[in-house]
Amino acid sequence: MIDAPLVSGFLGAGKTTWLAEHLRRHTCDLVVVNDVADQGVDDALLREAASAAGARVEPIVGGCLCCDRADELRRVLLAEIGRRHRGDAVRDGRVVVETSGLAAPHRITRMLADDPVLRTNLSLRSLVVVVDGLGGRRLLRHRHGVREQVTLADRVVLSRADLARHGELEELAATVRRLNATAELAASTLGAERPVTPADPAVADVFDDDGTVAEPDVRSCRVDLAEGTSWAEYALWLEMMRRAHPERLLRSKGIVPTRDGRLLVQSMGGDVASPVPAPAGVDTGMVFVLDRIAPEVLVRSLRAHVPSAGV
Amino acid sequence: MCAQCRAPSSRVDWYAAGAPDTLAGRRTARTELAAAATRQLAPLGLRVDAHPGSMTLAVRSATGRTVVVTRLDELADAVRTLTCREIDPLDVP
Repeated sequence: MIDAPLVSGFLGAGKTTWLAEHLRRHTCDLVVVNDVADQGVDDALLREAASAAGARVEPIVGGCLCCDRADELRRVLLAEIGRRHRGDAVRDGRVVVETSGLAAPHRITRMLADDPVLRTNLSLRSLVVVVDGLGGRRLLRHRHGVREQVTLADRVVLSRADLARHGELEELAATVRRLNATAELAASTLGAERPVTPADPAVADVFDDDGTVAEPDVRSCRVDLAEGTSWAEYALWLEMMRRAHPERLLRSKGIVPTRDGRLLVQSMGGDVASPVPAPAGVDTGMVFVLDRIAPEVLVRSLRAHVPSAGV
Repeated sequence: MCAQCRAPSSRVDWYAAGAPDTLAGRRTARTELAAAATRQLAPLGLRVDAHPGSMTLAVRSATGRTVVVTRLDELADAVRTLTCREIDPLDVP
Protein backbone atom coordinates (compact mmCIF):
# COMPACT_ATOMS: atom_id res chain seq x y z
CA MET A 1 0.00 0.00 0.00
CA ILE A 2 1.24 3.48 -0.82
CA ASP A 3 0.48 6.28 1.62
CA ALA A 4 -0.47 9.37 -0.39
CA PRO A 5 -0.99 12.53 1.65
CA LEU A 6 -2.37 15.46 -0.32
CA VAL A 7 -1.03 18.97 0.36
CA SER A 8 -3.28 21.80 -0.75
CA GLY A 9 -3.84 25.50 -0.07
CA PHE A 10 -4.38 28.71 -2.02
CA LEU A 11 -1.71 30.37 -4.19
CA GLY A 12 1.17 31.57 -2.03
CA ALA A 13 -0.15 29.98 1.15
CA GLY A 14 3.24 28.40 1.87
CA LYS A 15 2.66 24.83 0.66
CA THR A 16 6.13 24.40 -0.84
CA THR A 17 7.92 25.83 2.20
CA TRP A 18 5.93 23.57 4.53
CA LEU A 19 6.49 20.56 2.29
CA ALA A 20 10.25 21.15 2.05
CA GLU A 21 10.51 21.03 5.84
CA HIS A 22 8.13 18.04 6.00
CA LEU A 23 10.37 16.13 3.58
CA ARG A 24 13.37 16.71 5.81
CA ARG A 25 11.60 14.74 8.56
CA HIS A 26 9.76 12.03 6.62
CA THR A 27 10.87 9.48 4.10
CA CYS A 28 9.20 9.67 0.74
CA ASP A 29 9.47 7.99 -2.66
CA LEU A 30 7.88 10.53 -4.94
CA VAL A 31 6.73 14.13 -4.73
CA VAL A 32 4.22 15.24 -7.35
CA VAL A 33 4.29 19.03 -7.68
CA ASN A 34 1.55 20.78 -9.58
CA ASP A 35 1.79 24.34 -10.88
CA VAL A 36 -0.96 26.17 -12.73
CA ALA A 37 1.64 28.08 -14.76
CA ASP A 38 3.25 26.52 -17.83
CA GLN A 39 6.64 26.59 -16.22
CA GLY A 40 6.86 25.63 -12.56
CA VAL A 41 9.19 27.05 -9.93
CA ASP A 42 8.15 24.84 -7.00
CA ASP A 43 9.73 21.66 -8.35
CA ALA A 44 13.13 23.38 -8.57
CA LEU A 45 12.71 24.73 -5.03
CA LEU A 46 11.75 21.31 -3.68
CA ARG A 47 14.42 19.31 -5.44
CA GLU A 48 17.06 19.67 -2.70
CA ALA A 49 14.71 18.72 0.15
CA ALA A 50 13.25 15.88 -1.90
CA SER A 51 16.63 14.40 -2.74
CA ALA A 52 17.58 14.54 0.96
CA ALA A 53 14.43 12.51 1.66
CA GLY A 54 15.35 10.10 -1.13
CA ALA A 55 12.38 11.17 -3.21
CA ARG A 56 12.00 11.93 -6.88
CA VAL A 57 10.16 15.08 -7.97
CA GLU A 58 7.59 14.83 -10.72
CA PRO A 59 6.36 18.26 -11.88
CA ILE A 60 2.94 18.53 -13.51
CA VAL A 61 2.58 22.03 -14.92
CA GLY A 62 0.22 24.07 -17.06
CA GLY A 63 -3.06 23.34 -15.27
CA CYS A 64 -4.72 21.91 -12.18
CA LEU A 65 -4.55 18.30 -11.09
CA CYS A 66 -8.26 18.40 -10.39
CA CYS A 67 -9.28 19.18 -13.98
CA ASP A 68 -6.82 19.94 -16.83
CA ARG A 69 -4.06 17.63 -15.62
CA ALA A 70 -6.09 14.90 -13.86
CA ASP A 71 -5.08 12.31 -16.45
CA GLU A 72 -1.43 13.14 -15.99
CA LEU A 73 -1.72 12.65 -12.23
CA ARG A 74 -3.40 9.29 -12.81
CA ARG A 75 -0.58 8.30 -15.20
CA VAL A 76 2.16 9.31 -12.71
CA LEU A 77 0.49 7.47 -9.83
CA LEU A 78 -0.13 4.33 -11.89
CA ALA A 79 3.53 4.38 -13.01
CA GLU A 80 4.64 4.60 -9.37
CA ILE A 81 2.36 1.70 -8.43
CA GLY A 82 3.77 -0.33 -11.33
CA ARG A 83 7.32 0.51 -10.28
CA ARG A 84 6.67 -0.74 -6.76
CA HIS A 85 4.99 -3.92 -7.97
CA ARG A 86 7.96 -4.72 -10.18
CA GLY A 87 10.56 -4.09 -7.45
CA ASP A 88 11.07 -5.62 -4.03
CA ALA A 89 9.44 -3.07 -1.78
CA VAL A 90 10.68 -3.51 1.79
CA ARG A 91 8.33 -0.93 3.28
CA ASP A 92 5.10 0.81 2.45
CA GLY A 93 5.56 3.48 -0.20
CA ARG A 94 4.87 7.15 0.24
CA VAL A 95 3.86 9.64 -2.43
CA VAL A 96 3.19 13.27 -1.53
CA VAL A 97 1.00 15.24 -3.93
CA GLU A 98 1.21 19.03 -3.78
CA THR A 99 -1.70 20.56 -5.65
CA SER A 100 -1.70 23.94 -7.36
CA GLY A 101 -3.21 26.79 -5.38
CA LEU A 102 -6.37 26.77 -7.48
CA ALA A 103 -7.10 23.03 -7.27
CA ALA A 104 -10.27 21.67 -5.73
CA PRO A 105 -9.01 18.78 -3.55
CA HIS A 106 -12.37 17.02 -3.46
CA ARG A 107 -12.09 16.36 -7.21
CA ILE A 108 -8.68 14.74 -6.71
CA THR A 109 -9.91 12.56 -3.84
CA ARG A 110 -12.88 11.53 -5.97
CA MET A 111 -10.57 10.65 -8.86
CA LEU A 112 -8.45 8.50 -6.51
CA ALA A 113 -11.57 6.79 -5.17
CA ASP A 114 -13.13 6.18 -8.60
CA ASP A 115 -10.13 4.44 -10.19
CA PRO A 116 -10.05 0.76 -9.04
CA VAL A 117 -6.24 0.43 -9.33
CA LEU A 118 -5.54 3.68 -7.47
CA ARG A 119 -8.19 2.85 -4.86
CA THR A 120 -6.61 -0.52 -4.15
CA ASN A 121 -3.00 0.64 -4.01
CA LEU A 122 -3.15 4.16 -2.61
CA SER A 123 -4.30 5.26 0.80
CA LEU A 124 -5.15 8.92 1.10
CA ARG A 125 -4.43 9.18 4.82
CA SER A 126 -4.60 12.93 5.18
CA LEU A 127 -5.43 16.13 3.36
CA VAL A 128 -3.21 18.91 4.66
CA VAL A 129 -4.36 22.41 3.78
CA VAL A 130 -1.91 25.27 4.28
CA VAL A 131 -3.51 28.67 4.96
CA ASP A 132 -1.56 31.94 4.83
CA GLY A 133 -1.32 33.07 8.45
CA LEU A 134 -1.34 36.74 7.41
CA GLY A 135 -3.84 37.02 4.55
CA GLY A 136 -5.78 33.86 5.35
CA ARG A 137 -8.83 35.49 6.88
CA ARG A 138 -9.24 37.78 3.89
CA LEU A 139 -9.10 34.80 1.55
CA LEU A 140 -11.54 32.77 3.66
CA ARG A 141 -14.00 35.68 3.65
CA HIS A 142 -13.81 36.38 -0.06
CA ARG A 143 -12.86 33.16 -1.83
CA HIS A 144 -15.27 30.28 -1.91
CA GLY A 145 -12.55 27.93 -3.21
CA VAL A 146 -10.33 28.53 -0.18
CA ARG A 147 -13.22 27.84 2.20
CA GLU A 148 -13.89 24.63 0.32
CA GLN A 149 -10.26 23.52 0.75
CA VAL A 150 -10.37 24.24 4.50
CA THR A 151 -13.74 22.53 4.97
CA LEU A 152 -12.34 19.25 3.61
CA ALA A 153 -9.00 19.30 5.45
CA ASP A 154 -7.80 16.76 8.00
CA ARG A 155 -5.03 19.13 9.07
CA VAL A 156 -4.89 22.88 8.64
CA VAL A 157 -1.46 24.52 8.88
CA LEU A 158 -1.36 28.29 9.42
CA SER A 159 1.85 29.48 7.78
CA ARG A 160 4.11 32.49 8.38
CA ALA A 161 3.38 32.38 12.10
CA ASP A 162 6.50 34.43 12.85
CA LEU A 163 5.11 37.46 11.02
CA ALA A 164 1.63 37.37 12.56
CA ARG A 165 0.59 40.08 15.00
CA HIS A 166 -0.46 39.22 18.56
CA GLY A 167 -3.68 37.21 18.49
CA GLU A 168 -3.89 37.18 14.70
CA LEU A 169 -3.24 33.45 14.29
CA GLU A 170 -5.70 32.59 17.06
CA GLU A 171 -8.40 34.62 15.30
CA LEU A 172 -7.63 32.91 12.00
CA ALA A 173 -7.72 29.54 13.78
CA ALA A 174 -11.19 30.43 15.12
CA THR A 175 -12.39 31.19 11.58
CA VAL A 176 -10.95 27.87 10.39
CA ARG A 177 -12.60 26.06 13.32
CA ARG A 178 -15.94 27.59 12.35
CA LEU A 179 -15.56 26.05 8.88
CA ASN A 180 -14.09 22.74 9.99
CA ALA A 181 -14.84 21.52 13.49
CA THR A 182 -12.59 18.47 13.46
CA ALA A 183 -9.38 19.37 11.61
CA GLU A 184 -6.13 19.34 13.54
CA LEU A 185 -4.67 22.86 13.72
CA ALA A 186 -1.02 23.90 13.71
CA ALA A 187 0.91 27.12 13.23
CA SER A 188 4.05 26.96 11.13
CA THR A 189 7.18 29.09 10.74
CA LEU A 190 9.18 27.99 7.69
CA GLY A 191 7.69 24.52 8.12
CA ALA A 192 8.46 24.20 11.87
CA GLU A 193 5.13 23.60 13.59
CA ARG A 194 3.68 24.54 16.95
CA PRO A 195 0.16 24.16 18.34
CA VAL A 196 -2.34 27.01 18.02
CA THR A 197 -5.54 27.48 20.01
CA PRO A 198 -8.53 29.20 18.37
CA ALA A 199 -9.57 32.53 19.89
CA ASP A 200 -12.56 32.27 22.19
CA PRO A 201 -14.98 33.93 21.61
CA ALA A 202 -14.36 33.88 17.85
CA VAL A 203 -14.29 37.15 15.91
CA ALA A 204 -17.20 37.34 13.47
CA ASP A 205 -16.56 36.95 9.74
CA VAL A 206 -18.89 37.66 6.85
CA PHE A 207 -18.35 35.19 4.02
CA ASP A 208 -19.52 37.18 1.02
CA ASP A 209 -18.62 34.93 -1.92
CA ASP A 210 -20.80 31.86 -2.38
CA GLY A 211 -18.90 30.68 -5.43
CA THR A 212 -21.49 31.91 -7.90
CA VAL A 213 -20.87 35.67 -7.92
CA ALA A 214 -17.98 36.26 -10.27
CA GLU A 215 -16.50 33.67 -12.56
CA PRO A 216 -12.72 33.91 -12.12
CA ASP A 217 -10.69 34.34 -15.27
CA VAL A 218 -7.37 32.98 -14.07
CA ARG A 219 -4.45 33.00 -16.47
CA SER A 220 -0.74 32.63 -16.00
CA CYS A 221 2.20 34.00 -17.90
CA ARG A 222 5.95 33.84 -17.69
CA VAL A 223 8.13 36.90 -18.24
CA ASP A 224 11.90 36.68 -18.62
CA LEU A 225 13.75 39.58 -17.05
CA ALA A 226 17.12 40.72 -18.41
CA GLU A 227 20.34 40.33 -16.43
CA GLY A 228 20.98 43.48 -14.42
CA THR A 229 17.30 44.33 -13.90
CA SER A 230 17.03 47.25 -11.49
CA TRP A 231 15.77 45.96 -8.14
CA ALA A 232 14.46 49.47 -7.35
CA GLU A 233 12.35 49.62 -10.52
CA TYR A 234 10.98 46.09 -10.11
CA ALA A 235 10.23 46.55 -6.40
CA LEU A 236 8.47 49.86 -7.02
CA TRP A 237 6.33 48.27 -9.74
CA LEU A 238 5.48 45.27 -7.53
CA GLU A 239 4.59 47.55 -4.62
CA MET A 240 2.21 49.56 -6.83
CA MET A 241 0.69 46.35 -8.24
CA ARG A 242 0.13 44.73 -4.84
CA ARG A 243 -1.61 47.86 -3.61
CA ALA A 244 -3.71 48.54 -6.68
CA HIS A 245 -4.65 44.93 -7.57
CA PRO A 246 -4.32 42.57 -4.58
CA GLU A 247 -7.33 40.56 -5.82
CA ARG A 248 -6.12 40.33 -9.43
CA LEU A 249 -2.38 39.71 -9.16
CA LEU A 250 -2.96 36.43 -7.35
CA ARG A 251 0.64 35.31 -7.33
CA SER A 252 4.05 36.16 -8.65
CA LYS A 253 7.05 33.93 -8.16
CA GLY A 254 10.43 33.62 -9.75
CA ILE A 255 13.91 35.00 -10.14
CA VAL A 256 14.85 38.65 -10.60
CA PRO A 257 18.44 38.82 -11.91
CA THR A 258 19.55 42.07 -10.29
CA ARG A 259 22.97 43.63 -10.63
CA ASP A 260 23.79 42.42 -7.10
CA GLY A 261 22.70 38.82 -7.69
CA ARG A 262 19.70 36.64 -8.45
CA LEU A 263 16.78 37.10 -6.04
CA LEU A 264 13.88 34.72 -5.46
CA VAL A 265 10.90 37.09 -5.23
CA GLN A 266 7.35 36.01 -4.36
CA SER A 267 4.09 37.86 -3.84
CA MET A 268 0.75 36.48 -2.71
CA GLY A 269 -2.11 38.89 -3.39
CA GLY A 270 -1.39 41.93 -1.24
CA ASP A 271 1.66 40.45 0.50
CA VAL A 272 5.26 40.27 -0.65
CA ALA A 273 7.65 37.81 0.98
CA SER A 274 11.17 38.86 1.88
CA PRO A 275 13.33 38.15 -1.18
CA VAL A 276 16.11 35.62 -0.68
CA PRO A 277 19.12 34.70 -2.83
CA ALA A 278 17.92 32.33 -5.54
CA PRO A 279 18.92 28.68 -5.32
CA ALA A 280 21.06 27.33 -8.15
CA GLY A 281 19.34 25.54 -10.99
CA VAL A 282 16.24 27.73 -11.19
CA ASP A 283 15.73 29.50 -14.49
CA THR A 284 15.63 33.30 -14.55
CA GLY A 285 12.12 34.61 -15.07
CA MET A 286 8.92 35.46 -13.23
CA VAL A 287 5.69 33.50 -13.31
CA PHE A 288 2.52 35.54 -12.76
CA VAL A 289 -0.91 34.11 -11.96
CA LEU A 290 -3.53 36.69 -12.88
CA ASP A 291 -7.27 37.00 -12.41
CA ARG A 292 -9.03 39.28 -14.91
CA ILE A 293 -5.75 40.80 -16.16
CA ALA A 294 -4.67 39.99 -19.70
CA PRO A 295 -1.00 38.88 -19.80
CA GLU A 296 -0.27 41.43 -22.55
CA VAL A 297 -1.49 44.23 -20.27
CA LEU A 298 0.86 43.05 -17.53
CA VAL A 299 3.78 42.87 -19.98
CA ARG A 300 3.01 46.39 -21.23
CA SER A 301 3.00 47.64 -17.64
CA LEU A 302 6.35 45.96 -16.91
CA ARG A 303 7.82 47.42 -20.10
CA ALA A 304 6.76 50.92 -19.06
CA HIS A 305 7.67 50.77 -15.37
CA VAL A 306 10.69 48.45 -15.37
CA PRO A 307 12.63 49.46 -18.51
CA SER A 308 15.81 47.81 -17.23
CA ALA A 309 14.09 44.39 -17.42
CA GLY A 310 14.20 44.53 -21.22
CA VAL A 311 10.74 42.93 -21.52
CA MET B 1 -11.89 47.58 -0.22
CA CYS B 2 -13.62 45.32 2.28
CA ALA B 3 -14.40 46.95 5.63
CA GLN B 4 -13.53 43.71 7.42
CA CYS B 5 -10.13 43.36 5.81
CA ARG B 6 -8.92 46.92 5.12
CA ALA B 7 -5.99 47.68 2.83
CA PRO B 8 -3.18 45.13 2.81
CA SER B 9 -0.13 46.37 4.62
CA SER B 10 3.43 45.16 4.35
CA ARG B 11 4.88 43.30 7.36
CA VAL B 12 8.50 43.40 6.34
CA ASP B 13 10.70 45.94 4.54
CA TRP B 14 11.12 43.56 1.63
CA TYR B 15 12.77 46.13 -0.61
CA ALA B 16 15.62 46.52 1.89
CA ALA B 17 15.79 42.73 2.29
CA GLY B 18 16.57 42.42 -1.42
CA ALA B 19 19.42 44.97 -1.29
CA PRO B 20 23.00 44.05 -0.33
CA ASP B 21 23.39 44.03 3.46
CA THR B 22 26.21 46.57 3.65
CA LEU B 23 26.20 50.29 4.32
CA ALA B 24 27.24 51.05 0.73
CA GLY B 25 24.65 48.59 -0.61
CA ARG B 26 21.84 50.14 1.43
CA ARG B 27 22.86 53.65 0.33
CA THR B 28 22.96 52.62 -3.31
CA ALA B 29 19.58 50.90 -3.01
CA ARG B 30 18.07 54.05 -1.48
CA THR B 31 19.53 56.29 -4.20
CA GLU B 32 18.29 53.95 -6.94
CA LEU B 33 14.83 53.82 -5.36
CA ALA B 34 14.71 57.63 -5.31
CA ALA B 35 15.74 57.80 -8.98
CA ALA B 36 13.24 55.14 -10.07
CA ALA B 37 10.44 56.72 -8.04
CA THR B 38 11.17 60.18 -9.46
CA ARG B 39 10.85 58.76 -13.00
CA GLN B 40 7.61 56.98 -12.14
CA LEU B 41 6.03 59.84 -10.25
CA ALA B 42 7.03 62.68 -12.58
CA PRO B 43 3.60 62.64 -14.33
CA LEU B 44 2.02 63.34 -10.92
CA GLY B 45 4.32 66.33 -10.37
CA LEU B 46 6.30 64.58 -7.62
CA ARG B 47 10.00 64.06 -7.12
CA VAL B 48 11.84 61.89 -4.63
CA ASP B 49 15.17 62.90 -3.12
CA ALA B 50 17.69 60.84 -1.19
CA HIS B 51 19.83 63.19 0.87
CA PRO B 52 23.43 62.15 1.52
CA GLY B 53 23.98 61.06 5.10
CA SER B 54 20.35 60.21 5.71
CA MET B 55 18.60 56.87 5.24
CA THR B 56 15.25 58.55 4.51
CA LEU B 57 13.62 59.67 1.27
CA ALA B 58 11.85 62.99 0.78
CA VAL B 59 8.79 62.97 -1.50
CA ARG B 60 8.07 66.52 -2.73
CA SER B 61 5.11 67.91 -4.61
CA ALA B 62 5.37 70.73 -7.17
CA THR B 63 4.27 73.20 -4.48
CA GLY B 64 7.04 72.09 -2.13
CA ARG B 65 4.90 70.01 0.21
CA THR B 66 7.15 67.25 1.53
CA VAL B 67 6.64 63.88 3.18
CA VAL B 68 9.64 62.02 4.59
CA VAL B 69 9.56 58.22 4.30
CA THR B 70 11.87 55.39 5.26
CA ARG B 71 10.27 52.36 3.56
CA LEU B 72 8.97 51.47 0.13
CA ASP B 73 5.38 50.97 1.34
CA GLU B 74 5.46 54.41 2.99
CA LEU B 75 6.38 55.88 -0.39
CA ALA B 76 3.01 54.83 -1.82
CA ASP B 77 1.26 56.27 1.26
CA ALA B 78 3.13 59.55 0.71
CA VAL B 79 1.97 59.69 -2.92
CA ARG B 80 -1.63 59.31 -1.76
CA THR B 81 -1.16 61.98 0.89
CA LEU B 82 0.34 64.48 -1.57
CA THR B 83 -1.86 63.83 -4.60
CA CYS B 84 -5.01 62.17 -3.16
CA ARG B 85 -4.56 59.56 -5.90
CA GLU B 86 -3.68 55.87 -6.04
CA ILE B 87 -1.26 54.84 -8.78
CA ASP B 88 -2.42 52.08 -11.11
CA PRO B 89 0.60 50.54 -12.84
CA LEU B 90 -1.68 48.86 -15.40
CA ASP B 91 -2.85 52.27 -16.54
CA VAL B 92 -0.20 52.73 -19.24
CA PRO B 93 -0.95 55.19 -22.05
